Amino acid sequence: MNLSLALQIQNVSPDVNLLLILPELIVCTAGVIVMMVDAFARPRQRWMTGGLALVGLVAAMAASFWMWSGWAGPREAFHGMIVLDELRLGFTFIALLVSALTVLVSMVWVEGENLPAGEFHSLLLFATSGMMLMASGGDLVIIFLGLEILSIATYVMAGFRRTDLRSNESSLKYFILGSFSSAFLLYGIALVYGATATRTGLAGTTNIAEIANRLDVSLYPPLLFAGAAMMLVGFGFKIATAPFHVWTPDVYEGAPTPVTAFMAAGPKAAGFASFLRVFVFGFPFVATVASVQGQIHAAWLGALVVLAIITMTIGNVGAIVQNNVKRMLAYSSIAHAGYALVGFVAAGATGDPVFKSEALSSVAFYMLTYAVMNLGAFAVVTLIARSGDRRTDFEDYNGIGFQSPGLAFTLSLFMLSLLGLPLTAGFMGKIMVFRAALNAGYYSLVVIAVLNTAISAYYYLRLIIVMFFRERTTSWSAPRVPASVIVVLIITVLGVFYLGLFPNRVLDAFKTRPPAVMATR
Amino acid sequence: MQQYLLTILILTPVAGMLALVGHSFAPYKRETHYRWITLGFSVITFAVSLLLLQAAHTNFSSFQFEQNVSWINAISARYHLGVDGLSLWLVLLTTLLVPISILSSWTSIDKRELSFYAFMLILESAMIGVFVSLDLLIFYLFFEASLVPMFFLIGIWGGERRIYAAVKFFIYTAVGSLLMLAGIIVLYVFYQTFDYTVILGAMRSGQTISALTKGNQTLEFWLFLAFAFAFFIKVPLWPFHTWLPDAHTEAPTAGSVILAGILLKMGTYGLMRFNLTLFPSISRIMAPYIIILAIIGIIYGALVAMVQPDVKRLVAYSSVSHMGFVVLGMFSFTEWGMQGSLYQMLNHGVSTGALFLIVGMIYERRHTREISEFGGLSMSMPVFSTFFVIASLSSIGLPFLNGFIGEFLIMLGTWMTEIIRYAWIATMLAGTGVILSAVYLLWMLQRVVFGPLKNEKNARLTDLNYREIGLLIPLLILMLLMGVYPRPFLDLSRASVETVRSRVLHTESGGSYTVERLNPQGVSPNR
Amino acid sequence: MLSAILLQTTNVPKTVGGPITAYWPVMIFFVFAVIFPVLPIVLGRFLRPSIYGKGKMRPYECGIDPVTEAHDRFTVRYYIVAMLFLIFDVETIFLLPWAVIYMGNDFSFTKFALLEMFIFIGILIVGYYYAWRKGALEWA
Repeated sequence: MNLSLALQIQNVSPDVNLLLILPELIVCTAGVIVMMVDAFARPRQRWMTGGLALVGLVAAMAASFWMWSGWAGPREAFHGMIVLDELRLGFTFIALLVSALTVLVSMVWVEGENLPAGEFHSLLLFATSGMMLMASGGDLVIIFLGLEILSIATYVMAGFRRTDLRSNESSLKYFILGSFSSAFLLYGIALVYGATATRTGLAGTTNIAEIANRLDVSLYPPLLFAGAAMMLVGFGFKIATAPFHVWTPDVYEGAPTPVTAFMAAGPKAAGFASFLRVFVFGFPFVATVASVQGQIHAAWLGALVVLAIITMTIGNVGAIVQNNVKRMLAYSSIAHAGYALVGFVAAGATGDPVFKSEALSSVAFYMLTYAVMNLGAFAVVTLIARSGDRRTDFEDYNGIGFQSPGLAFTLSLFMLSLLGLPLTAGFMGKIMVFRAALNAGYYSLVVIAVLNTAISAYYYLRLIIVMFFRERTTSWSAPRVPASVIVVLIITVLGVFYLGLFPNRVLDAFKTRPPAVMATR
Repeated sequence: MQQYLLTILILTPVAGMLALVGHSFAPYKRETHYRWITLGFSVITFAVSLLLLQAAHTNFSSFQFEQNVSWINAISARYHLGVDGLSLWLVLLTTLLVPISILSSWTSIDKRELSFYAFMLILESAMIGVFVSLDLLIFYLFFEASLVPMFFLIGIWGGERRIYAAVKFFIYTAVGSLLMLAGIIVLYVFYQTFDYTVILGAMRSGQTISALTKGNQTLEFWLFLAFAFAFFIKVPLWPFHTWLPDAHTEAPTAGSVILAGILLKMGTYGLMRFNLTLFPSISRIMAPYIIILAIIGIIYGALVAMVQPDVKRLVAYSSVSHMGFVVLGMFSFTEWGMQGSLYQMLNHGVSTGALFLIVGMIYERRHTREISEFGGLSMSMPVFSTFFVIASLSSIGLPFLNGFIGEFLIMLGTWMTEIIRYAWIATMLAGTGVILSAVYLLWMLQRVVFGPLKNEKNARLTDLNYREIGLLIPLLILMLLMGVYPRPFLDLSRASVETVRSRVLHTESGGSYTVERLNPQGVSPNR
Repeated sequence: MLSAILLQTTNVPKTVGGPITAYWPVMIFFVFAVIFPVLPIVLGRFLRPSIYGKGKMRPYECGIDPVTEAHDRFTVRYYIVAMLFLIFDVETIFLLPWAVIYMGNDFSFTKFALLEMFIFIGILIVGYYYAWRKGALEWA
């Protein structure tokens, strides 16, 4: 047999549908344009890059809304490498929103810090395209590709303040542990690929839907277990679940505050998107427990329950003892990953399409609420920290409540929302996640999550107490609030109330519609 | 209009809050304008709430002024409001006490007025919402929402140890209510709705929780505890009361009045509305234990109040004792006991509210609340002393004042109850609480109001001004009115209380327990 | 046979095993790779005469003697150039599979593939211009 015969056997005709990756393309192109503008424009004109980035993000958002509302075409392309479902669109929306808000927060900040604005914005756009690919990938390879695009851009952004040692430390730590986790993930992908070869002579596969079909006919079931475990660890690192969370506090504390805001909201959501897709659809629920598929499902679900419990507890307990606001928010982001995992467990635990869709949408909704309130909080923290992130300790917030009432009340609102108090987005997110878990019968998990929420009250309130109940002893000059940050604060405050009071529309949009059973070929 | 009345009632204070914030941007603003705006809006709210009485002809036997629209489709949560005999008087108490406490802050709040009055109005809106919501999720929403403004009120305008008190208050109540949230969602999982009336309907038609769990009462038991825990902390029932003395003592006067007058009632209201009707069989099983806790609370609160050196702390501990009465009456499951319990909620709001106001007035003058600092105030401040004595007597339960009616009905109900075996012992013990309350309040009066004028500083105190008299007069009138003519109050709540009572007593569950079996030979005077 | 092993195509009956056995050639190759350098050295050890002198001990048999520390610092430009080289070199690899597939009778496919390659090269050019404008290619 010669090579040409081998090629004829393979199906080489490309299943190309560029419209299906339109939002990703728009963001990528915008990133390239921003890069070029930065290279060719005179230094004075470089402020434009932020505006251009915004335009690109808004256009991509429009494209994704179009796909949301009236998409009649095929729901997958590139041989199942790209899929279109509400899970993808929901997380794409989150990625774009996070990115747009980050641009707004950083527009003035990046100038004030004397950092290269163009590079910052193009990196942000590339990171966003990576996040979107992670959400839209129906294939492990695409997911890995998206992850790497995202990670490499984020490593650079974390160390963006080159002269600041903390920023350098943050970047290096993120890079080393990020590569480590990528290696885990890649090894897991490779093992799964190897293990999904079949007796009939089919080669392995990295397509998620196909993996699910091959689980019970796998030649090497132990490899499947090992591969799934590796991927679990890899994703666990990315979304910062305990015990894979140790990098988070240092990285979040050291990175420039707008970048921290982005990292806590964006990559985490994207990680959840692919984590969900790989495990809920790649190793799905099956009624017969004795099969290989059943065993794998039981194994990862059990592991995830344990992860969720540890993550919530470590995140919340760790946050209590912090004296730095950014570090506290880092631990709180770990805890929130734990709450979202509760919804994840619910999504994995059921075979019923309606419940599964509800649980998936609950996780997406949770990440959206978290993104909104987290970005709002970090926007205020950025302003208060001033240039060089000098004021990020609790001490620095002493008694500013009535010196800068606008900022302080806004920050308090976000804290209460992160705590999950009614009327706010955080409450609705928790309700959705808990309800999904209770529907799936995880009563004790929800009780643990609720108790954890009670623990978290302590440290969220602490910031409010420091701001309002103490008197300021040192002088305080209120920071000037740039117009772009005012826009961010208005969007996030309204978002917190909108998602907390009228979540109908968003929840409907995030829910899978019945005929499109996700990612099945 | 009828349908939207409750929504208007909830939104009026919010509108007032927005007006305050809007006014802070006005060029001609003055700090004194804020309190006038707030007072205006709270009086309007009170006036609107009086419109609720136009449905008096229905005796509030069913929910009136119902509004029922879909809120979140995805989880079929509804915006369902309604008022019946249980909640009617509590709503009116709320709308009455808020303007009074705003008037009491007239001069005592001299910093950050805007935020203070804004929080007061948000608090009012949340409190009204708690009493009128018929959807469990909305109820929880208002229940928690009332926490935040009070947290700020204590923390910013409170006394020395305000931070400690505020955090303790928040954490205690939040932990309790979060467990209730878990319970609410579990109920949702069973009934796929948060609507209280729908759940109740389903239960009435045989789909009880124990039926859904195939006769297993364990889950129902945990659900009862999840709800009860939240309310016990709020009431507060002994041994969950430790947040209360701190919070009451450290809060500003207006905060204490609202806290004692209304926030505590959210606990007892919740018990009566939700625990008794949603989990009747467990309520019957748990009643003896809860009665024991209530009696411990009555006596413990009274004994601790007796030795307090601080007047405000004394009043705070007397709240523990009085709220014990409310719970005792409620769990006697007799008409008298439950009616008395509801009546005592109002009494406590009126008389303890008045006591806190009075303590606040003297604190404003002397900046101390130590009993040993006072003595002989009746000579320097006769009007003040008169009010103080009447409010104390009302709190003790002197006949012809409101406290008497409530406590008498509760004791009568406890005596007649069939839910525990030796009811007369419980009644006697509760009676001890009444005696003790007379002891500590009269002793306090003796040391503060009467006796010789020992301390020089007390001699020069100015008596109450017209504003202070004006804000006490409505409460005084209520004390007398409710003491001599309780009928209109009791009439409007009778039908609703009877609904709850019959639901608790006549619901069989699992077939293992009936009231009759507990007291086979007893004559039941109520039926 | 070899192509079947390497590509693991579907129509091959079960003459070879799964992924592990398919690695046999690689393992054999690895064994040879180890033997190939080790064997001459071992053989030389026994065959050659062992005579040591000053000239024999020098690291290089010709050229300049290294007199500085081994931890020498290079100018950062070396790294930039090295990275740029690496990036463009790696990306050129993509041209190979494209060239291999770029044949056949399907005109629409070849048209598509040509367009794709132009886009790909276009992106490379953008990157190249960016590096240029940012001064990565300037040496002085």
